[in-house]
Amino acid sequence: MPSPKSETKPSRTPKKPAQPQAEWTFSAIGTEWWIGVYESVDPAVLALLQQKVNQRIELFDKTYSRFRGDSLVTQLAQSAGSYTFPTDCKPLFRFYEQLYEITDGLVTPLIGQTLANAGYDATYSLQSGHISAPPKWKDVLNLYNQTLTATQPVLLDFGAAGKGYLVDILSELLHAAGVVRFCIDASGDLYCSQLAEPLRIGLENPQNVAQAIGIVSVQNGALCGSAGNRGAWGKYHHILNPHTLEPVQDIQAVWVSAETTMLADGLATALFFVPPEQLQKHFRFAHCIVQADNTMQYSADFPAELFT
Amino acid sequence: MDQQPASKKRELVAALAVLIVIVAIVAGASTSAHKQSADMAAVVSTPVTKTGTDTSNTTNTTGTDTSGTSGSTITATSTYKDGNYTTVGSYDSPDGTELLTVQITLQNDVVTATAAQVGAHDPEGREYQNQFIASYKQLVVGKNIDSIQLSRVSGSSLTSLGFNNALAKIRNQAKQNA
Repeated sequence: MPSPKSETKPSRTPKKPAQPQAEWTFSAIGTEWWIGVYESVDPAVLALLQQKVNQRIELFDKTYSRFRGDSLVTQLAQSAGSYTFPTDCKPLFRFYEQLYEITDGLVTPLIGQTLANAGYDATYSLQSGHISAPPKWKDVLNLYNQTLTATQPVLLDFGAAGKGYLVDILSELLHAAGVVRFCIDASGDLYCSQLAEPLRIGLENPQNVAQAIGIVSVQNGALCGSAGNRGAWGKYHHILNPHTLEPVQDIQAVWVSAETTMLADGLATALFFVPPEQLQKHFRFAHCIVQADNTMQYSADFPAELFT
Repeated sequence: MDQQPASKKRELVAALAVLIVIVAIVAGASTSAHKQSADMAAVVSTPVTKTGTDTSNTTNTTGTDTSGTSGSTITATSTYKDGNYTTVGSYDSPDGTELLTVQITLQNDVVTATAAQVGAHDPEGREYQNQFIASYKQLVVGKNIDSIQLSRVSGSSLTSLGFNNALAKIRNQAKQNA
């Protein structure tokens, strides 16, 4: 891994990035996906794999999406009661519980209704109405194994770590099919598995999407980003402080690299609320934060060449 | 055991670099004042600053000096000449004299970019300088994505299709209403 700031200006012209031997794109959970395979794989195996990927995504979406009427999460928003989630819910729920505790409730799946009322709803109305603080976890939710019991209808939002977790689930699918060298990119939240050479990932300038503010090298592991610029409507963007009910303003963008995509994704959101030191006590990750004043804060092990 | 000198040394490096940046601004400004006719962003290399252990005392005051000099010459245009300024600072460490290079870019009197390069030869010194460079406030600079070879781009995690469509609709409505 190169050090965050190279001592000398790179004079060599960058060579063309390695091209995957197979790749495909698709839309899922409301965003664009790209999977690149960097090894030779039997086309029949690949076709079967694509099918499995689609089925797995459908199951995930039907469980966790608050944007579709037939999902488990939508049922939970309509009536209180006990709901049994698929086995895959365990790591996700455990991680959300952890984040909730560490951030004192600032990262919470219960933000769903607040976001929806602010206009980020199932129809993307982007019309904000009256918004109120989300309920406390302990007051409304009880988790026992795979069964989630809600004492009142609650709209859950897994936007902080759900997409990253889905990337991890799909990575496991690929591994199970014997494919080990690949990259899964869910619109900037990505995971690279055992690549022969690292991919060069541009960090999008939060003030100008035609620009990058640095290049991260990812060979084996996850990189996730979160920024207020793209998901913005009116005064809101998708990262709302559940205590103040205001969008987080002092940070423009965050990137996290970590071993799993769920971890990187969730921490990229958590860093909007709490300082890195607070999270470093519990998780291993490297980060880069672009503050509102256009300065950067990053950990020494963040695998990037940053343009400063 | 070596905690004490380490933190002292780090403090010194930090104080020094702040000074260097300020010195660069002042030096750059005075140099540019003499070369008003020269256009284009000039790379001004200021002389190596000879600084010793007394640097930490001077850091606070230098800042006010800068505004003092600029105050008298302020016009509608910028006080300092736009461009890149580089300076090499030196300081005495227990392992001998060490160097640290600092660059700044000025645009309309605003520092739009700064960078620092490790110059120390001693491994310990290099480590401290690396630590300093990794933690001092650096400004974000964007490069056009077309100009750098990239495999992928990572930005906001919310590049949602539905969301983008909704935004596009709203923009269209706004156009029609205008």
